[in-house]
Amino acid sequence: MMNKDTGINFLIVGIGALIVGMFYGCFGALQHVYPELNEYFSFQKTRPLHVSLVIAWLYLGAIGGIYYYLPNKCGVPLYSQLLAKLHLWIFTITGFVIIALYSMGIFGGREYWAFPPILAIPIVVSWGMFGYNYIKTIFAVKTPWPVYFWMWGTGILFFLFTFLESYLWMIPYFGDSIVRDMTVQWKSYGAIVGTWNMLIYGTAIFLMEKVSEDSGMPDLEEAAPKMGHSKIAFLLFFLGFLNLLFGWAHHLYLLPSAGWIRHMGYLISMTELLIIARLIWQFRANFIAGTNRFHIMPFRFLMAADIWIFVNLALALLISVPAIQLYTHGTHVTVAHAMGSTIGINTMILLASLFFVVGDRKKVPNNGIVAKGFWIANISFFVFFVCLVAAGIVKGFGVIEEEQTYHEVQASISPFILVFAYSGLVMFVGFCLVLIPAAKTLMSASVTGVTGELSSSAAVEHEAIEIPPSGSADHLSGGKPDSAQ
Amino acid sequence: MTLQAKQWLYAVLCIGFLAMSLSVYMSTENVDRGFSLMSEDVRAGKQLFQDYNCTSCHQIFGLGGYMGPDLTNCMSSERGPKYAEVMLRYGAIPRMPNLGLTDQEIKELLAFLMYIDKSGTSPPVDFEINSIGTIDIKHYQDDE
Ligand code: HEC
Ligand code: HEM
Repeated sequence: MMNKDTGINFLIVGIGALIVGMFYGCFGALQHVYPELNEYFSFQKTRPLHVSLVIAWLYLGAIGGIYYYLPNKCGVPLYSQLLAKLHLWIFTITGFVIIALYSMGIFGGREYWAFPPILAIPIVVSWGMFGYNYIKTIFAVKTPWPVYFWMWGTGILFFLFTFLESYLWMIPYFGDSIVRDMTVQWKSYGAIVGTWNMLIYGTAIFLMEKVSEDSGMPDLEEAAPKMGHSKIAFLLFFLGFLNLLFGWAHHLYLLPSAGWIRHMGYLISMTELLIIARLIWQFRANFIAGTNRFHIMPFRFLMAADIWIFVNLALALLISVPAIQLYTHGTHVTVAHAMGSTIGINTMILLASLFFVVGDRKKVPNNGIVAKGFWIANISFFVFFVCLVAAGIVKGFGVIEEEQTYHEVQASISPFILVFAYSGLVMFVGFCLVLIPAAKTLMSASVTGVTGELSSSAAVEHEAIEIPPSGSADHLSGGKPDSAQ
Repeated sequence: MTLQAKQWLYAVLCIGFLAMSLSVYMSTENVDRGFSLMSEDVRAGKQLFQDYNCTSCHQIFGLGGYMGPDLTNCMSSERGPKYAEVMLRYGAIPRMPNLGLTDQEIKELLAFLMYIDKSGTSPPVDFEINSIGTIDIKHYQDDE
């Protein structure tokens, strides 16, 4: 099943990580409802399996796109295919080792990276290869870089820094004081979220540019090459960068760390979300003008991301007010915020990217099923999200206002958790309907040799997609508009 | 935006970030709270807390998983250390697993929990909400 194109292989591994990760998410959610399940496979194992795997998806999905797009869509051959392949292999093998250790109950790390710290070494080494390869690749480009080159590079560079920073606890100066330790830990986690946002928002801008380029609409096609160089795109980039660097402080409002740390970065992340929402909205306005493009898969997922940005923006704005966070911190509102943005924004953008690549392979999955999956996932996700917010609010007021005990709180939130768990199951099914056909297409593309014409080192700028004379972009969706409804 | 302007902005942000990071690393506010309790047992307990992935179910200062209660102040709660010890020894099947901890491990975990308890208060009990939406939390009994 191995594909010649490392980018595509990353995407296939990423899809696997997401499906298995969601499976453990469902299992963990059911454990909240039926704690007996703990006796077979404790939540102590399910939670890190879920969290590490879905975060792995975010990175694998973004990295796969970058390795694929640079040679195939930007006309920039990779500096080294070998380094890219090594990166994939080291990542994948390390991933399997981590899954095995978690399943055996061997930890030693911390939240999100709960694996023994020694396994950070292969991750850092392979990431270093990625960074070196990326820099060598894009420094060969002599024309001004589009904004997404900057964003990808920044995401890569700062992941390395913040990932290493999250291991400072191993030095006693940090590890010996819980206040300093947790301050640095959550500083680094906040910035790590910023790094995957950089990679993924960069991908979003890239996609908007390329989908417009191939839209068959003369105005849009003309404007497309400017998108990645526009003022607003660079404004977004620098705001996002500012947020990555300084916007993590809202994790720490309730910690006894220094006041200046806690009051920093109050509104930065909000402005960033606003700008990306504006960008996508603008894009939609342009794109939708004239025809309904909703049957185009990448477009459809970008639209979903856009709507979820608004929902998450509202929630994020609220909980970044310390007086409100007082009630929501340590409750399921935080989980809603975390999954709201990783699913609603990040995953939707990555799925847009995935289907852009799928469309590019000219082998098209069953669009009807994908469209069904799209709706099932989005609607159940809405229920899922609302339940988490509701459970969090009930818990927050119970704890802060009424000083309820743990058991009282659990009893009052249980109806919401029940609906949360079952809507999660439905969402899992919905996403599988989207992911499995995409994975099949990518895997069969390698078997049938479609790769040949798109061999990853060839610079094939703009030629991979032929635009039908009618000017429609149906090749991206692979079907007639009505087949997707 | 010219290339040079972009490079400058980038550099300024990076330098600002490094300066801020160093200030965070060096900040001493409340970092010594509970230090009198810091001992080999506490250090070992902290590592055990990671080795058994207690954070998957428990929070400290509200950060962690949501299956079990926040442990920041469980030692000074009305349930107290005895309850915590029973929990660690037998669990609360099926929610809190019996992890088969040894006496030594239980002692170390309790020392760590005692240390956490002295480092601050979570969830906040004594706080003030200001008109601009910020909060002042009283973390320590001996605060003004
Ligand atoms: C699978 C989830 C899970 C894991 C893992 C877990 N716990 Fe618990 N723990 C719970 C739950 C749930 C409760 C509440 C039980 C009850 O009161 O019925 C609890 C209760 C406790 C209590 C009593 C809290 C109080 O408020 O008095 C302590 C102390 C405790 N756990 C410590 C730990 C430590 C230390 C670890 C790691 C070695 C750990 N737990 C691992 C789920 C877990
Ligand atoms: C099938 C659907 C899913 C279900 C049922 C599910 C369920 C869960 C559960 C039960 C938790 C643990 C909450 C706790 O500690 O009690 C969790 C946490 C988390 N999930 Fe999911 N999940 C799903 C999909 C996803 C996806 C697709 C992503 C991202 C790509 C994601 C990202 C996260 C993150 C980042 C956390 C950590 C939250 C925090 O620490 O506050 N989840 N999820």
